Amino acid sequence: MDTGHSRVMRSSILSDELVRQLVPVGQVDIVVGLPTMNNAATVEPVVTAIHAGLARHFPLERTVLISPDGGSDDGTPAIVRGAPLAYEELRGSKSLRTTHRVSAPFDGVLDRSGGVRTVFAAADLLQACAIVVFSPDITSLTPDWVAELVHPVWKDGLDLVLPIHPRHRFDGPLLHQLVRPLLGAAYRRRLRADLAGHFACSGKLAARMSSHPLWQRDVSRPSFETSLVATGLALNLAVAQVHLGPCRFAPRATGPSLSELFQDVVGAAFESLEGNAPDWLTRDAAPDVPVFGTPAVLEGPEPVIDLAAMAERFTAGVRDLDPLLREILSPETCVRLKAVTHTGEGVRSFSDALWVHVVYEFAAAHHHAVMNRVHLAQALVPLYLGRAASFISDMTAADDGAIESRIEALELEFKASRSHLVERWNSEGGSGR
Amino acid sequence: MADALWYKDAIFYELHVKAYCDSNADGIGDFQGLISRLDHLRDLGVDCIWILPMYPSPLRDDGYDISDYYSIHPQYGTLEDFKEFLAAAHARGLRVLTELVVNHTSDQHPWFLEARSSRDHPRRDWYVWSDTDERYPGVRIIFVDTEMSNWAWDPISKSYYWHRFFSHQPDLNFDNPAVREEMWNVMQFWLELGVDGFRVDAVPYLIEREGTSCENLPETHDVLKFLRQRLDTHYPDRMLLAEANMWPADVRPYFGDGDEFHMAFHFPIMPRMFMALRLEDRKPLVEIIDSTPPIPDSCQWGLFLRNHDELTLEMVTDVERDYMYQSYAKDPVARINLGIRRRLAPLLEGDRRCVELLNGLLMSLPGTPIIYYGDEIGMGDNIYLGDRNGVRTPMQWSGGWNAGFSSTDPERLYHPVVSNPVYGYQSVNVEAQKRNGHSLLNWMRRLIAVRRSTPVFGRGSIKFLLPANHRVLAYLRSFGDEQILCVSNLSNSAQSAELDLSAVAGAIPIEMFGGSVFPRIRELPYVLTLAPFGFYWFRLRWL
Amino acid sequence: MTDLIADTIRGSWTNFLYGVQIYLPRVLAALSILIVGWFIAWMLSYVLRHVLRWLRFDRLVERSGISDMLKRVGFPSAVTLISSTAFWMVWLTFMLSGVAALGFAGMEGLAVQFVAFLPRILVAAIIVAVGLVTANFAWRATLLASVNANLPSARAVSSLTRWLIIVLAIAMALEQIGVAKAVVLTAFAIAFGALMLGVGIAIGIGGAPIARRVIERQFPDRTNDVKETDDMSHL
Repeated sequence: MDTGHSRVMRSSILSDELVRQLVPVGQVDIVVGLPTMNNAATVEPVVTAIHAGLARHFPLERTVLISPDGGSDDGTPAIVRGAPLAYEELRGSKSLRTTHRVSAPFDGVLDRSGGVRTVFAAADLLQACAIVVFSPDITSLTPDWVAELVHPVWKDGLDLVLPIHPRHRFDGPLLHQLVRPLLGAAYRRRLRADLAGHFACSGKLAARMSSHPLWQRDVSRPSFETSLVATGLALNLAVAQVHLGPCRFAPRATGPSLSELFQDVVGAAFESLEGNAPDWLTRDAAPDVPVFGTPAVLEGPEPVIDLAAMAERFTAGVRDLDPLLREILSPETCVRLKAVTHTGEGVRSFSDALWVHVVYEFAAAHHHAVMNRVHLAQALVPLYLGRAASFISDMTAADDGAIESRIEALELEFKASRSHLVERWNSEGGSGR
Repeated sequence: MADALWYKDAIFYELHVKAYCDSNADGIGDFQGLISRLDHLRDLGVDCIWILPMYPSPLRDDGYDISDYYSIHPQYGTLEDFKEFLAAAHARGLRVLTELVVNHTSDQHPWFLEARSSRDHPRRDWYVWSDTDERYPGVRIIFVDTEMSNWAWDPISKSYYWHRFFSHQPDLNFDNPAVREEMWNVMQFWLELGVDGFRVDAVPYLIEREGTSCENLPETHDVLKFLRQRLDTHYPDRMLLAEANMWPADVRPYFGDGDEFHMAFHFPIMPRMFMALRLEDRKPLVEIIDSTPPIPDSCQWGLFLRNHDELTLEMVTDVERDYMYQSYAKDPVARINLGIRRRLAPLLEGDRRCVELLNGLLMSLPGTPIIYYGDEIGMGDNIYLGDRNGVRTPMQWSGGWNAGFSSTDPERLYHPVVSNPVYGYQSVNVEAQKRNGHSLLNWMRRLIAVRRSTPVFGRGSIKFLLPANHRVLAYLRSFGDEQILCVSNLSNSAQSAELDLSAVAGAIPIEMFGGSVFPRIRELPYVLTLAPFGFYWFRLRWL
Repeated sequence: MTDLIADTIRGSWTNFLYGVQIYLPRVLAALSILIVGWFIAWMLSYVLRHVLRWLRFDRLVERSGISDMLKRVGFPSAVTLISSTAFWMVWLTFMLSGVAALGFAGMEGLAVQFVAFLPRILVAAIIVAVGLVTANFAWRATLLASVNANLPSARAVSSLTRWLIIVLAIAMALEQIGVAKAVVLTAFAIAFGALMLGVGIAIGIGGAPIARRVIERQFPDRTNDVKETDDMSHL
């Protein structure tokens, strides 16, 4: 009999197969998430290292490895389930508890972000206190990483723990020239962490992120760590950073292009400002993000950097994208941009102040939707290359300490010019004109 | 009593004569008192009584320091009393196992008194002597809380004597054939009286050799084979039970090829049952049983939850030991040596469900179960009594005078009865539980009756089913055509489990306690739900 | 004779007055339709203008780039354009109805024909509008993709893309309203075909090396294992 109640089918994050495998696991203390997608070549040692880390550092805790799979056709799930456990002898150190491993396809957006969302939902179901997520193609993962990431959450009650890896001098310019200083200035918290694809968070944060508006957009986000970090900063959660050893990944057949990286990472940074505007616009001071552990040393040759190519792309970009840049940037910034000289050895005189203005004006333009936001992120790429080339040119002969100081100076510039961002953000239209 | 493998089907009951019942009001239990309580044991349904040492002794180690192998300690009665007890037990279908402390004697034993009197005495070589305390270096000390060395100085003969236990318990020298012969004489004496077997104490330590751990040496097995061979020749239906607190793989040699011990205690299972309960995870149990080597068909493991000693944590890792201390002995007073000196019920905080569950495991895992006296009613303990005396308090028969144990003044009791409101004799006693159909005592009777209804538990093989839910321990016991499915929930919350029973598809499970018929098993996973700490035993029928 | 003249004159005046009697109401009706129609058209245009402003339609148009194009060709803003178009279309309809009300032969179906023609004009306008938006979007996307892929002549390629789409949209709009249908279609086919042929010949003869370089850059031969670009990790 129809009593007037209509049956509403709700969409679910956890597939039936996944739920079926999670039910017997029951309540756990620690969830290790390992989203996979055709990682047969690299995943086995990762699984073994994870279990070794759990057995060594969390022998008494209830743990589970959850590996949502995005539709592998190379046998990755079977490898995950069958990877050998690095138990030490029966009379030695080992986990007292049953080791659970769950690997099943997941629904929704079949990429890494969808996989992580599934891990969060599963952790919520199992009432986990701590979650740590790894990438299945890390080749330098050691068992101790599990402890170093999880302990601050599990033992000290922190909400989010991010890794800091030793890097070559000029590696990661997108991070230290744009993402970190932008988020740091907006949320007034200084960051050193890498967006390497692995992190630890509390069950509370994971539950919160499960229902974050981010997932409601049917957009593929290979790296959503930026949103996660921004959310952590915006909500004033207990965030920490921990030094880990060098991070190396298996060579990837095809990685994202710089353009795609910008759409993803920088787009996420801008969107986080959009979503958390009421918070950061009015924020005064905030506590520092603590750092644990001892910095490791990275050995090996420095990467080859083609400054000439970067400069060429910058010059061509400023020239060819002029109509767009005039819509995005203020007239003064446009003029200053054109004045950045280009010599045969690379871009020079792309000052911190100019770069900060460029970034802030792009952020404001994103807020005002001056143009399609994907195009907006793409338009920033040549300017970023110019800035990176300028920075590297200036610091080629400098040591690590000097580079660190220079990066700090840039962060201070971002902080000092914060009012420019606020002003552009709040202005009507907010476009270049 | 003609079945030579009777011990595989039996249920043992361990008791101390002094703790059971006092007939002469001297405050100490005795054989006459024990005789008066044999009906309780018969009604309980056990098959064999294992009596702790009843020999004359200075009682500095609760009777394990023997000063006369051929007599009964006067406080327990006379040899005649013992014979009467034997007859009464046998009349009720109860076998009797006594202690055989072969490794050492009391320093008050005439043998030792003679041996120490002079370096030239014929009995000198019955013990292990040295002019220095540097022989056999590196050998571990067993009673770490009280002893500093395995050598003790004898001021009379001005030399050191070897002792693996207390210093007042000098080790016998089994390299001496005379010692072996005498030990056989001791055995024969009691076997002639009618004793059905011996629990042989401290087996691994019989032989010493330089450069070794002085444990489990090959020559030890020569001694044991010698004794067993004599036993088989003259008394083929009697048995020997080894006390060897070691890993199963290390205990395995003590079964020989069926020509050494009939039974041996499986020590490592015991703490893992408690660990699995607290972890709510079957892993420790499954691992230890899976790593237990096969033994000769005529041999049997002895399983127990508690005994007269501390709950030993020697056979666990440091992490596991810390976990057990945190879980079961937060109070450091409860800890002794490398173990916990508490009884079953207090260990489980009086949780009847846990008590039932562990007893269910005890009765259904492969081996012969041994019940410690008082655990059938959930007796408590007294950890302030020193050493391990806290688990050796008087049996609580009633809520009356001295718990019905003795009519003497309470101050005269060998140990005070437990009298706190939770476990005291007023609330925990046999009389009260006999009158309550739902008491632990009656539940134990039913459990034992079900266990005895089939030889599968005692003689059958075990195959673990490993459902995805680690909180559920499930296994199939098989013997001949009979199969029993045992499923236990190790957690404090209701659980469900999908069992792969395709190997027995077509069988109809009959729950063994209530006789309920469960749905037929098919090829698809069989779903069961269990209450917190609940367990099922199903007899599988093909009809 | 006088009577004949008087009768004739009287008759003519009677006819004339009769004609005035007949046609004057019609003229008055036509005038009233015109006046009322003007008011209605004006009201509609006023309401439309304010609704569009309230919806910030002008910002949307600005973001799509259409406002730029309109300014270049000297058109007023999009809001004004739409409200004015709405005004004239409505008033024109009333005007034609007014003319029809006069009852002149051959003019009765004018309003109906005009109203029947209106949807086609509307569709053509939509085609052009969509075409403009698409052209602008494609221009920007092509420009950005070309710049970020380091392709030469990024602006030329993106402009070409934009104008091709605009031309296509205009041709579709003209075809929709049926203006010189055959001529438009044929001209477009010829022009488009010639353009593509020309591009093909240019690439085949003069631009082969360039095309080859561009293609090689997109599909590099990794077997030689020669690093062409830097291997710094941006992230």
